[in-house]
Amino acid sequence: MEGLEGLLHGFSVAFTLQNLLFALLGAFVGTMIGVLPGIGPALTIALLLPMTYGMPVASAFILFAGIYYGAMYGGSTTSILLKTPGESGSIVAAIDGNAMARVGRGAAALATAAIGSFIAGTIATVLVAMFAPAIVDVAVQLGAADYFALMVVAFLTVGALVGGSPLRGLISLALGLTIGLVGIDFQSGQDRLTFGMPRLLDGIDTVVLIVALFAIGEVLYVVAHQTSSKYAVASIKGQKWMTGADFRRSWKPWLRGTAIGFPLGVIPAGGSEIPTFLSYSLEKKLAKGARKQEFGKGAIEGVAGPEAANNANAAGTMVPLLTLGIPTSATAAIILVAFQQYGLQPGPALLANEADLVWGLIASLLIGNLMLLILNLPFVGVWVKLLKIPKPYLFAGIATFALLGAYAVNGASFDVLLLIAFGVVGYLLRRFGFPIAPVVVGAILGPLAELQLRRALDISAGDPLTLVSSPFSVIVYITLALVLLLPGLIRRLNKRRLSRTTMLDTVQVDGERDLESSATAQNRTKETP
Amino acid sequence: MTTDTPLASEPVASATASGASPVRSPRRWPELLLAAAVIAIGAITIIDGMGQPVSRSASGLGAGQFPIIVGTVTAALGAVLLVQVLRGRLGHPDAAEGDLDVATLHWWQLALSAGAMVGFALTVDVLGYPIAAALTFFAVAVATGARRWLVTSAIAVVLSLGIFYLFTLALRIQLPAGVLTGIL
Repeated sequence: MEGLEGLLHGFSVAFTLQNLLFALLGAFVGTMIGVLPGIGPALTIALLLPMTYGMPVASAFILFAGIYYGAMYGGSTTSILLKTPGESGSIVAAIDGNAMARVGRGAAALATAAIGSFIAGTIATVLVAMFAPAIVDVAVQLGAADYFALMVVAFLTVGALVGGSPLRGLISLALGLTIGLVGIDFQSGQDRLTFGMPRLLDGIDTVVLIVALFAIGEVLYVVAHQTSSKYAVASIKGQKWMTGADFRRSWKPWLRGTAIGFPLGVIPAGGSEIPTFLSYSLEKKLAKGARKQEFGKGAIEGVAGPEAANNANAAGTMVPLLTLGIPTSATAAIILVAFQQYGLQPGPALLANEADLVWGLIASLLIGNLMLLILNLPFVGVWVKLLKIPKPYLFAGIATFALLGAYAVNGASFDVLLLIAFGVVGYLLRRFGFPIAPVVVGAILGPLAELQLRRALDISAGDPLTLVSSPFSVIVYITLALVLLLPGLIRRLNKRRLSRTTMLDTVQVDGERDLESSATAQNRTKETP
Repeated sequence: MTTDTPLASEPVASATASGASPVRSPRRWPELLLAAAVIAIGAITIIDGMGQPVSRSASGLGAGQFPIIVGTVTAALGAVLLVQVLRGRLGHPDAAEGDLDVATLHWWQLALSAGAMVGFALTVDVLGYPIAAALTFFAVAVATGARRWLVTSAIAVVLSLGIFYLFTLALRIQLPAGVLTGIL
């Protein structure tokens, strides 16, 4: 089924009263949970996963579509009004968004974020529908060695490009791969790294792992290091939405952000941090005169561009997920887990065998996106009220739901203990600057990569050269080498031209100024919890 | 925000580290321990992999080879980290969470919330979900700064009962009632 035709078919699936209600419920719950500080889209889906255990598969995925985009909308509300981005993709938009909120332009920042997210999400989702069938046509011809090459790309880009330090990212990835090893080997039936515990034979449940790293790690981190047990929420009461001038300043960044975000989501380029930063520095570069000085102090372009890039990127990650079964972000990894729970393995066969499901999901993303624009523009004030939940109850609630989520997986308290253990790991990772996403991607993609590796080598009777025998895999490895080496080369070139301001420097300076301002803010609001 | 700048990899990161990091977290030993733990995890994975039986598959690859590769990579990365930390390149704590200062550590709050969670795991089957969840909620809320005891306990009880009924009645997922079996 080709793109448009498939999409139309998808709408016919999604446009039943029941499924529309599920999409609305998903959008509603997704925004509600996503707006809570510190909860990003990945954790939102992981926390809500137990709710769908009893549902039919189509409804569950339409619900997920709404939750996914809803959590993205909710997350930007929080990062603008509260400056707690919760996930790396919102960090940049939080800088100028929060600056706008502090000078009474919070409503305009929320509006440009919501409309930008809507435009980017819609364009990118239509592009997903266009691209997916074409990529599936290529994907069905790929062999095990080609898949292994793509997974190596996903590993290294997610590991080396997420977060500030490539070394720490790769260590996160290695820990994730190790976690993925635990349990019975799929081929030989031998148990690995189970240390004699029968409960570990099935491996470490991915829902438990994700909820532990994101929720429990977060709760412990905040409890241990918070400077205040209250949030300083910026008010948007009585403020004007976007003016004509705001619109004129926003529409180009929306489109440029989409153009940056989508392709970087389709190729496994390591999460939404990079596109949002690229969009921010591009907007800053293009700004003229006094507008340039506004960046870091509340430039609407600095919210519009990165927010659009973030959403387009999130939609773009659906392409490798649905067509190849390769998750390139923590959120995509959880959606993969959701598929696996219904016995479905995303990949080229999925689009052919489960056309209703996949096209229904894509159509629901579009429908959910429209619902979210309506839920978030006129009714954003309602969501802002959720930010008034006192911090202690919020984090106690997150902990309670996380424990429940782990317990509900198997009804066993062993999983809860596992949750707490990995929660401590999540705390340590956060505290010492190791990114979380590579752990999740490694744990989920690792076993799939081992499967493809052993399949490829079994076919070649153990000859390792088979891994680079197809033109496709050779191209993939060369591209990977370029992607990993180019930034270093560019940086070296830039060092020679120190007089010129590089993109790197502009972002860096903003970051530092920002750190200083938040440090002083922390000192001001210091009070023991 | 400097801490999460993805474009700023090693050279830039170390430049800022020399400026900001030593003031905020001057101690190296936690990160040295962490690096040692990473090496140990790698070593355990290698040993576990070497203990796997020889494969009879066409490739000769059995249950052991992939773990040995992963373990070697893990241990090697841990060793690089050890060297980096010794040379003064410390990690930047996650900046995405707002008002946090890693220079101060609230020990008893951390212990209370972690303890409450372990308590939940150990008591949920005996006491039942509502009681165990309410106790955990109360403890974590107090650790995060809740001071109005009565309000906090009321919320804890209402929330845990609400979840219990939502799951058992609406979503049809069984949760243990424990000592309250027959009452709820």
